[in-house]
Amino acid sequence: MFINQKAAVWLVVASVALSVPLSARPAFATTASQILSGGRTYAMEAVAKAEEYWNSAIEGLKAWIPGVTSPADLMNGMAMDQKPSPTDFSYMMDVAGYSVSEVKVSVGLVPETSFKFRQTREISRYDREYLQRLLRKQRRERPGLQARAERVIIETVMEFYSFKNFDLTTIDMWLRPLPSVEFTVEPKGVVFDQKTSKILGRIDKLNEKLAAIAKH
Amino acid sequence: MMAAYGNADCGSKRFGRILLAAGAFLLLPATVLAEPNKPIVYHTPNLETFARAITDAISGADYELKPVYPPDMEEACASGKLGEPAVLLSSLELPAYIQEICGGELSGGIARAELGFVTHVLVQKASDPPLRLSADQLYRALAKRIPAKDGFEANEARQWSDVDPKLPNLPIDIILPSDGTSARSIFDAEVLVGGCRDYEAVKSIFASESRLDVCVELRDGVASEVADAAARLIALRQKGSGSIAFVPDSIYESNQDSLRVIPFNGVLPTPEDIIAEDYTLTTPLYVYAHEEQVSGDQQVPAIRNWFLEAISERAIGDAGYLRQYGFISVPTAVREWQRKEYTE
Repeated sequence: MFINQKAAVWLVVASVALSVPLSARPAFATTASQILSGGRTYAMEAVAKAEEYWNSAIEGLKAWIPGVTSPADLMNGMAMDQKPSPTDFSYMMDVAGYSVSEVKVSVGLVPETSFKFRQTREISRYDREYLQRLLRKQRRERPGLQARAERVIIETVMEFYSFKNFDLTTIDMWLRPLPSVEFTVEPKGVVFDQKTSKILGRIDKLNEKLAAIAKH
Repeated sequence: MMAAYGNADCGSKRFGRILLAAGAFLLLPATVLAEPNKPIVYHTPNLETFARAITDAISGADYELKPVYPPDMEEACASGKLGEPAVLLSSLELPAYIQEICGGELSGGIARAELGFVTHVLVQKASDPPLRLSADQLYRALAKRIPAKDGFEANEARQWSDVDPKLPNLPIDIILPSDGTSARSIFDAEVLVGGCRDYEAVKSIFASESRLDVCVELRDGVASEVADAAARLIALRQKGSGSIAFVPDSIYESNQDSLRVIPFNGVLPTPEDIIAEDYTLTTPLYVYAHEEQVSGDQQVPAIRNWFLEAISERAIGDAGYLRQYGFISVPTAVREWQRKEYTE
């Protein structure tokens, strides 16, 4: 984990995205790299062009977003045309108050795939109870490693909400080449007390958990 | 059961309040008093009946029952009852970070067991035309404002058939627990918020309290509030066709001849669907204590006895004494595993 603190804006980036080695990035220029944000048509065209290169990445996406069978289907899913299952990762993130704002796909020998989730609303106390229920259901219905990783992330997001002095504004999630997550929090009148240290310490451990899950 | 619904006032702060319980028992071993007080059974307000029933089942028991109302994490850690052996009966899972923050000097961790679910039901008179209601239909029947093309509009539905043509042409009328009670909190969470959560107009509201207001604000003339569960049943009997009431499952079970359970989101409260949480008008029950006090080197007999009683077959088994309060236990295998975990 590293923390960048700009005095002017008091922006703290709590990052746990240490597990994406630079050497793993595609090094040759002939591969396509597209950042898909907004503009669904553009996004779908871009994904269609890259489709043949990153089928393996899509396999990764399928695991995280059940029901996705092709890049076009993926973008439809992102546009929320289809109602997801309540225990799908994307739905639970939505209940937690975070929606996908960006999908980043880099194709090559080692494809990269990442999502950016932005906070779209505060979680309510009832949303929190509902999420607890969904996590219990998912734990029973999907005991596998992928679902376990999802739960670790959702539970961490929920923990953030208990700290009044911070807003968790964005969540960057990498699926390929290695699963990792980066949280960006904005403090409101920062005081790094014992509580803050504890939660940041737990974030620090999150990628260790994800890495351990990935090794299985 | 009625007491649990009559005196609980935690409603809006239900989640926050659970945190005091965490602090209360997680800090216990930090100080040892020369003359320890009575062991304390902390409980969330909605579980007083259950805490009392388990306590009463322990022969020669001398415990102090205390509801817990912590407003937030800081207070939970700062106001823990140091030195007092305690156990917690909770309707919410304790987040793991609470244990790290409050229990920094503990050894042995936390003993935790999942007991089952307290179940509530929507009922109608058995003589009325059968109703099947979803959270969405109930929200659109009861809310003061409902989503429209451009934001929200006043809810004008008066008959169930105004909400959905498939429903009977009878007046909308519901008898609810009083605002602020834990039973009402469950209704608000699962029925009203559950019914409005996925509307885009609702999702576009950033502030959580503003969003909740839109979901749980009831319009005049369709709902009446009665704190006591048995009194809700009496009120229902005096109402006309189309009226429904929200009551504990135990109330229904003792009045099956005159009541009909309304399927909620297409699901009836069968034990299987309750345990799978496909039927959602439920509250889970958990028991927590220090592992050291339950099964470690620093065992406190009173705490160990209470914890083991709570997970015993005579308490939470299929014929256990908690069943009379509308309690549905976790599956047999889970119960046996939990007992083995803390008795061997």
